[in-house]
Amino acid sequence: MLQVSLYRYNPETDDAPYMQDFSVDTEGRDLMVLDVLELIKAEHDGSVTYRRSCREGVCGSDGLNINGKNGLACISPLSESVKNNKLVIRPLPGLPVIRDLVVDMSLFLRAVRKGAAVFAERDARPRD
Amino acid sequence: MRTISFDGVIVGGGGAGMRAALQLAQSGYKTAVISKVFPTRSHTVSAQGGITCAIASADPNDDWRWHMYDTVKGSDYIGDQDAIEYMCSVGPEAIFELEHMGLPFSRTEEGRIYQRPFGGQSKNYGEGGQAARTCAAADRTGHALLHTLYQNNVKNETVFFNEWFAVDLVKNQDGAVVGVIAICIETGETVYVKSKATVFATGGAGRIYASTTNAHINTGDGMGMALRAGVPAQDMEMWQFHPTGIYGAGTLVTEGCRGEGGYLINKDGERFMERYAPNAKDLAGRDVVARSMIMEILEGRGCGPNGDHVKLKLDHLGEEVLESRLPGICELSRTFAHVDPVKEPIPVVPTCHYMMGGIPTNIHGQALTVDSEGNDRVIPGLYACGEVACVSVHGANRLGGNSLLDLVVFGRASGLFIEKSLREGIELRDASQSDIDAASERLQALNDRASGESVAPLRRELQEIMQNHFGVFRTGEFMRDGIAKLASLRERVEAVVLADRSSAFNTSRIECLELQNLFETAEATAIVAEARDESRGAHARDDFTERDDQNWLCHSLYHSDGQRVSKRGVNFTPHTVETFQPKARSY
Repeated sequence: MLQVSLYRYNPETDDAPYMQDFSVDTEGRDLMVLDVLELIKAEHDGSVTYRRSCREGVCGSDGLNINGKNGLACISPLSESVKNNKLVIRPLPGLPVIRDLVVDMSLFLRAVRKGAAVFAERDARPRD
Repeated sequence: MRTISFDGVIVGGGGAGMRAALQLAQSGYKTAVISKVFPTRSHTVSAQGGITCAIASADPNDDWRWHMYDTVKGSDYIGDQDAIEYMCSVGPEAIFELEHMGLPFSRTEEGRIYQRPFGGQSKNYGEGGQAARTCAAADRTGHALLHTLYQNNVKNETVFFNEWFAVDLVKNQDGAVVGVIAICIETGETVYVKSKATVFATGGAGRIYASTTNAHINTGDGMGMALRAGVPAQDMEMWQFHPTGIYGAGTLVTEGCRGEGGYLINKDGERFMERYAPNAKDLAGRDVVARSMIMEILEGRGCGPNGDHVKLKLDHLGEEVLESRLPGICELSRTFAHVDPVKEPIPVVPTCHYMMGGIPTNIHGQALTVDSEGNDRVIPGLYACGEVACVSVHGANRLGGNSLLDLVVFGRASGLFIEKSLREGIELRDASQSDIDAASERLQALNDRASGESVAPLRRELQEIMQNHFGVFRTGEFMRDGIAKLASLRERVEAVVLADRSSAFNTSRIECLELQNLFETAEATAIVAEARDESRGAHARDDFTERDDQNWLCHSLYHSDGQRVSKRGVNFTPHTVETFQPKARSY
């Protein structure tokens, strides 16, 4: 049984975040971290909250902090992520947490928009 | 419930939605995009191979009419020829526009856009051999396209409602669409988003199948909302099974691999497509290739201990070609198949990929229904573009690279038409309180329900019914079993229970609402699949193996109230070229 520890926080009910532990039966398969989250949500606790979409490492939705390292859950196999049979999953660091593993990306996105404006401005000037 | 008003609202932030948004953002009208995910997470991002278009880069003699012929033939003759003519002829304009927006296409030595060979593409109306017509950015063209469109929307200050989920259409007393009920996922607030023009660009629904190339988010939300609101669905039996989904994972490996010279082999190492499609071989239409693979497997020549897949051989292309033109699939193969394509072939199997069917529209993106006399009637206020629409440019089978073209051509066309309509003035009666209540009923019922089954096992059950009964090969009796299973599943799906009652970022609520959309899409598929008693394009029946042009050279139409199936005519009258007459279809 894999020991999984998930960062939980519900702004409506929790004063502070906490870690919740789960024992997950992976049946010996080298699943991706995302598969483990899906398993927990389907079979243990349907309120576990995270973002995901493509499940193939191309959309960026499931960026998480996995055993201390940031990565995309859908292309992080257990064989490369688990330490001492334990998997600790936290939201991406440095951004405010909306709920559980979902962070508020708006600061980051505002910076991206400013960058887009710089390129647009540069392209508008006539070339030498 | 709060109301926010717009002139135009686009539901869905993928390629089609964002192209429509760009058009409207530049118009000066008050418009917004509602997307249940951050726009660059939309499934367009995973499209790999390219955008097919006759820009005459690889071949200076290339002609959009050849592309049109290929597309009409690819559709097995139920694609609307006027719409296909429009798409293929304006295509080059759309591609150069993308180039000017900054899409980083791969380039030839001369600096022109790189075009690769793709399935079903020929020169000179099928007589001149394989054509290289698919414009590409390595093997991540969709990624490049989506990010280019997003950046241009940012530049044009498009208003985005990101992580908002549209729940149901609001219709007024005249039956016109006047907006949607939507949930702000972050806060849980439910809002009436009022609009003079509502565009559905909600994408596909591959998640009705257990094995699919599609993302988790492809849950047929537009189809669900449309069917519940009495909008018909067209050609829902036409589901494309892409030949090369990675065995086990379902992840897509682009047709571009075969375009670059890769080919499929059975357990004997034989390039079996030489037998099934002597001319085009591995680049025959996807439906033809998928069926050939299944037949190899059924006849005992499949690979692996269970003989349940075949292999895609790429090592002969050499490391340089693979790493420069197909870097994405090299990664995917290593991650999901544990195979390095530079050294070994990739295990693959036909996998549910694309919904040819959808909301019937004209080339302006206006949603259509059919009146009691069988005449087309526009549904005021509702538009659709992209995978959720059925214009129809793909008919019974879509050619590779035509989807990305479809997105930008019809995204733009919808935007242009709505802009023109807004300028002419759109007058729609306001929704009454009872109209708004009707649109909120499903959400209310979910929120009020105290007991029922959980979403995950119900979803799994639905997916297995579809996977087993409505796959690549279908039989009447087995489909009727599937339909009966769906009928008894309906009640249980309608009574799905929330695992989480909070307001803030409640994904359980979204998954329950999505499950109901998956169900509507699945049931529509099942019923029309059983009704169309012929084989055409992607719809292959063991009990009706031939095409029946006498009875079925037409679209199927499905109305969920009464589960009524009817037929709708195909357009055979393009404006500037002669009709491409239906012929036996072989590659």
